[in-house]
Amino acid sequence: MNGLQDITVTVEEGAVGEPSAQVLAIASEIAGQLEAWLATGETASIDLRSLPMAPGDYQALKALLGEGEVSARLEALGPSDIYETAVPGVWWLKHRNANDEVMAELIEITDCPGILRTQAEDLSSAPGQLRERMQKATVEP
Amino acid sequence: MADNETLGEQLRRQGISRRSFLKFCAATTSLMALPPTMVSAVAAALEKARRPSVIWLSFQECTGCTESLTRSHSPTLESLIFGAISLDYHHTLQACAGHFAEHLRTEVIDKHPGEYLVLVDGSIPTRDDGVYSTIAGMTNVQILEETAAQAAAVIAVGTCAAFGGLPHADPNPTGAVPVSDIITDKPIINVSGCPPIPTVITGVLAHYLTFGGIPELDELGRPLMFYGDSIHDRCYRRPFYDKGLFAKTFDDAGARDGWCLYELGCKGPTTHNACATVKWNEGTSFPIESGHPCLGCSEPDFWDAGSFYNPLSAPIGDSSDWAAPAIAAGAAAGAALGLYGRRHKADAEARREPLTARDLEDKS
Repeated sequence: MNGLQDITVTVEEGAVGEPSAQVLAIASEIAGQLEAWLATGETASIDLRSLPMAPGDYQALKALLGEGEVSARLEALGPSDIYETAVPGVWWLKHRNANDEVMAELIEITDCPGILRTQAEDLSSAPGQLRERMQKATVEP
Repeated sequence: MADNETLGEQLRRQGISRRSFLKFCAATTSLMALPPTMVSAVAAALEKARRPSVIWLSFQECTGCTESLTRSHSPTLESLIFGAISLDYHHTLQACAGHFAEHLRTEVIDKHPGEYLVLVDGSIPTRDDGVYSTIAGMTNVQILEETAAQAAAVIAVGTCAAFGGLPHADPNPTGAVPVSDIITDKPIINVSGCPPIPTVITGVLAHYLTFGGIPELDELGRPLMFYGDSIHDRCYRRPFYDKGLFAKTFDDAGARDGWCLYELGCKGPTTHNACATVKWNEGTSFPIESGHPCLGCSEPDFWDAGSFYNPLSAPIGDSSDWAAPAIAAGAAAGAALGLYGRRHKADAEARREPLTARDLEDKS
């Protein structure tokens, strides 16, 4: 057995109710960080695993923030789901491992999460990689 | 991995992309309970990290700590961390046995003096010259002293190694003591819990790997990043405590509505651990979320603190013994109870009765 998904028990998720005081506190922190970003240009992020959440709080926070226009899937050491919430500049990142288990879950207050950008360390080898692919494509059609 | 290769070099050699590395760093930062803004610092440090040798010694224990670690998500962050250390000796997991196994232990000591880590689970018997637990003809005390003498640091994994745990509980027939009673000249990190949360064990290892030193510790030698807050302070049921809403039995309306479990014996106010935030089983829940009071398993002498189902304000013993400070609530009660606990421990131990199923029935 590799993970919870192998246990044939389904966790029922109830209807999302009104956000609790804890959810509203997290939302207030996000609002404060958005204002700080506008004022100082300093971006921020929140580790969702560091916060005490009651059952249902997670779903309530997700529902409160909504879903925006952009979503991306990253395949690196397993899948990561990244999307901008309905609030511009507030991104939800969920990093999973190869077994689909959550490794980290973050909210980032930024114009674009850094992990989505092309990495300078990878870029340096990019021209060589393309030339190698061209060579392989012509030698082994 | 070559001996002198850094983690960054190792990952690049394996074709791990920068994004994958950053994801690994984001997960490691979360694992170490550091703020996400530290990701770039963690990435810079991990890039240059070199893997340390680790010797894992198991003494008087139930193997629950190793179970906790190996049953954690696999293969995942933990396995990546264990790829980044060299686990050279582990009684339970190593394939080899006998003289060859012991040779590996002494080889690490000889080759990497002052650089390797010693992880210990289980307490150490000292009564009758330590005869109650021996390995390869050596008592646990002898193995620990020999192995720790050249170590960079010792990590006591689990409440047995950190505080004596169950073997140390009354009447302590083997004279069990924690690592800190034997080793007094090395840094010791206590990662308590019965067992500790797997991500807390790997989080401490990740901290050592990343920053090359031991994290900030509390007065009991536990890393503040995981043991800095009480379960009570981080509990999602805390608002019910603050409003005075308590479950009185395990099946009353309050219990069903998720009210505070303080009156059912919850030791959350006097227990320091990360269960309320890191949680168990891939972050699914923790005992209080599953409707059971905290047992206080990461605290010293939790097994001798009376019934798990007696509220903190009504410890074992005659109620006439109970001093006025016990009436104080919350954190103040925790401090008062600590004092009370120490003062009356011997007395309580003499009157201690084993927990029976009836204890549970009486409460329900």
